[in-house]
Formats: sequence, C-alpha cells, structure tokens
Amino acid sequence: MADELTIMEAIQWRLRLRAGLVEDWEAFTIWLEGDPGRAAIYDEVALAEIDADEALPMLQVPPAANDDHHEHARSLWRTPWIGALVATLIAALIGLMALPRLTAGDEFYTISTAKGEHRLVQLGAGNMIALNGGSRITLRKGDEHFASLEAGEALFSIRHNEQNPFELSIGDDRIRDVGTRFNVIKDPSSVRIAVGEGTILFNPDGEAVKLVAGQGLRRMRTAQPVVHSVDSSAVGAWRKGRLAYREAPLADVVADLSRALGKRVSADQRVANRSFTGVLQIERDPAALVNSLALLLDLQVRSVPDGWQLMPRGRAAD
Amino acid sequence: MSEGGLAQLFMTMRPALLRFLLARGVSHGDAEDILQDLFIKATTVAGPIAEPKAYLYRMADNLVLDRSRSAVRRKDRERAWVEARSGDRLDVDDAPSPERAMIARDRMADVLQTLQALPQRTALALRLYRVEGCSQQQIAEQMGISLSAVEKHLQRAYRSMRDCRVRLDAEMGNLQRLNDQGGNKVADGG
Repeated sequence: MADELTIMEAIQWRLRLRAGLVEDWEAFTIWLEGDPGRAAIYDEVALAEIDADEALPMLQVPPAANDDHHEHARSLWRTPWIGALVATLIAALIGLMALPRLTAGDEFYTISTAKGEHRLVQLGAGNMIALNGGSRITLRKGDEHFASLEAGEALFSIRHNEQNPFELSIGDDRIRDVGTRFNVIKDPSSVRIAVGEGTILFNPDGEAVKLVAGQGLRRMRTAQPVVHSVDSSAVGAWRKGRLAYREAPLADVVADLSRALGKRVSADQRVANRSFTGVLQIERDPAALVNSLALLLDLQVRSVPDGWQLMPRGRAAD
Repeated sequence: MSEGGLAQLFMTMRPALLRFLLARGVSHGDAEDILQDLFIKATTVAGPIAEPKAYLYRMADNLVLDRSRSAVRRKDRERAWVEARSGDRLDVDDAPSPERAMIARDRMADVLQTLQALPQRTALALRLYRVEGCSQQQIAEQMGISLSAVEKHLQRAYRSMRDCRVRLDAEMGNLQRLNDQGGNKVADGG
C-alpha cells in the first residue's frame, strides 16, 4: 500500500534523476531495494509524468490573476509565452484607444509538417494547435487570434476571448471560436470539422452554423455543409494514434492514413465513396494496417511507389 | 565518449545495471532482455555523451517504463477493438450506460482536468519544467522564486498527476472486472 512518505520520496527521486549523476542512480537503487513496494510507486509517478507530457501542451493557462499581476509581469517577462501575453494585453489596450494597430504589420508565416510528423504550435498564452503530419498552417506574427489551415489536419485548443475571438480560415470557410477544442481536416475535396469541447461558429458571416461538443460538419467542395454527430472524446484522437470513423467515405480514411503513416495511401475512384465505420490504431505496421482495412471492406491492395492503393477485388492489379 | 566506448562501459556496468533493474521490480528474464536492448542501443548511439554512466542508467529506466506503457497500450488496443466491433464507440448514445460512459471516457481529458485544477503558478512551473525543458534553477530565475519553492511547486504537481493516474488505473481495473463478470456486479475498488 502506498504511504505518503513513499509517494513523496518517489516524486523527489523522479525530479532529482532528470539531471542525475551516476551517484544519484546508485543511491536510487539502494532506496528501491529498501522496500519492494517502492518500485511500483516510482512507476506510478514516472508514468503519470508521461501522461502529463501528452496533456500539457493542451493546457489552457489562464492569464495572470489581478492581485499579483505586477509580480508576474516583472518576473516572468523573460518567459516567451508570457511575453506574448503581455504583448497581447498591450495590443488590446492600443485597440481600446482606437489607435492603429502597432503590432507587426500583417507578417504571415507558414508552418508545415512532413507526413507522419506531429508538431505543437503555441499561439499566445492560451491557444494551442497540434498539427498532424502532411499539414500546413499560416499564422500572423503577433496575432494569436488568427490561423489559416491550408492543408491537412489540426487540433485546436482555444481559450475564449470575448473581445477578440479566435478565427480560423479554411480556404473560403471561416470558423469563429467560442472557447473550445476542435479538430479540422482540409483535403483537396473536403473540409471536416469535429468539436470536442465548447462551441464554434462555422462561417459566422455566412451560413452561421453553430456546432457544439459532439457535433461535426463536413463540406464537399462547395456543396452545402452537413452537420452530423461525432464522439466528442475521440476528437483529436489522432494524436494518440487512433482514428475513429462512423460511416466515413473511404477517400477520407485514406487521406487520414496518408498523413498518419507518412505514406501515399489512396483509393481507386470506384471505391472512394465506400463507407467505413471502425477504429484504426496507427502504431501498427503500416502495411498490415492497410491490409486489414482492405480486408474489412473486401478490397484489394496494390503497391504503388511509397504506398498503397485500395482497389475493387477481382481485377488484375496492373 | 566514442561509440565503442559506451558499449565497453556497458560491459563493465552490466552487474550494476542488472542490480538496478531487479530493484526496479523487473523479473530476472525481463531484466536480461532489457540489458540486451540496452547493449544494442549503446553500440548504435551517435555523438558524445556527457555523463555516460548516468546515461546508461537512464536508458535502462526508460526501457522499463516503455515496457509498462506498452502493456497499458495493449489493454487500450484490445478495448478499442471491442468497442469498434460492438459499434458503441462511435455512437452518440442518448442515454449511455455507466459502463459505456466509462469506456468512452478519454484518459487525456482526465489528465488535462487534473492539470487545469493546479494552482496557476504550480502549472506554470510544471510547464516550464516539462514543455520548455527548463532546469529547476532556470525556473527559479524565471519565476523569481527560490529553488526550494520550485521544488514544492513541482512536487505538488507530480502528486496530483500521480493521484490522477492511480485513480484512472483503478477505474480501468474495475471496468476490466466488470467485463469479466458479464457486467453483473461491480467489483470492489481495492
């Protein structure tokens, strides 16, 4: 049974060992040998740290509390994201005084990921974007309320800001955020949105479709957007290597697989609209994963340079 | 230290590393496997290493943690498979049963909630430590507090994180027992 002292000691060891010298590891060994129960407690602490590492980038850090705001401004100035927060506060003040914006004049920059690569982008103090592989996003220097997803997939964790809401461009579509976590996929043929927490407005100045947690939207090229239900707990699950689908067209599934596997996975025209429901676990061997998907849909796999194509069965693979 | 040097060092440290792994709660057979992995890694490591002995210990510790994690992931995968087959996973059920609600619960959401509940300065210290990769000394300088205050913040954060994990594992264990018993009886938390 875990007693308080053992837990605190295990935590102290974990903290100390990060920069530990050989003497520390030897002392740690002796500590572990002192009681066979200690190793399990240390495991809990170390594995909890790994859990936290996964969640930390999505943590929304609230702005400095009013009472000790001055202390924060003085001592944290050197922290990059606090600097950004203060810059934003200054920008907001300038906005209040109705002066022209003095922040860097519309300097756009683009961040892209290779297929199979994941990247986290911190936007100001409270906003975080997790970029999936094969994706590209454009940001504006000094503006934490704007992003444009050019291609691929990203998970957004956005802190609500009444005065200056976050806006995302996806081609000609817009999303206005009302404090939330949501996922967006932009492929050449479609835009797909899924909301995990909070609320967003799709095209606030057009259709103004309101999406709440557990809802998704999909738009094929320029067709009308269609709202459907999603599993809110599975939103952004790609970060954990899990892709969940409910009656999704195969074209979407292979596009997601290409991003996740870093391979060129495609579907033949004749089967691109086949419907798939299920969960794919990415950490498996890519070839085996594509083969099992083909098996589930009764399709045939053809090898192509750097990937695979799913084809109808019974036709000679040429 | 050269590549060959690390492998050589591994050979002289092998008994100490085995002792460490056994103290770490690994079985004798698994410890031998881990040492084998470690040896291969030691022969292929590129670039100089500042504290090679501590490095080998840390690699051994990481390999133990990797094993624990893949055991957990295997359980998750089996769960995901069952959910996909039963069709529960993706349906938004109007009235989910408690078991389903538990299954669908996202582990990360729970961890995130735990982190969100931390005092602001504690969360900041943790973020600097884990995300920015600052040393405790650097955090002390950045936050304008003493080294021991940094330690207190981090200890507090780790305590919450550890308690969250233990709670989630207990729930998972209950769920497992629940499934094993055909959902008739909720097993004791233990």
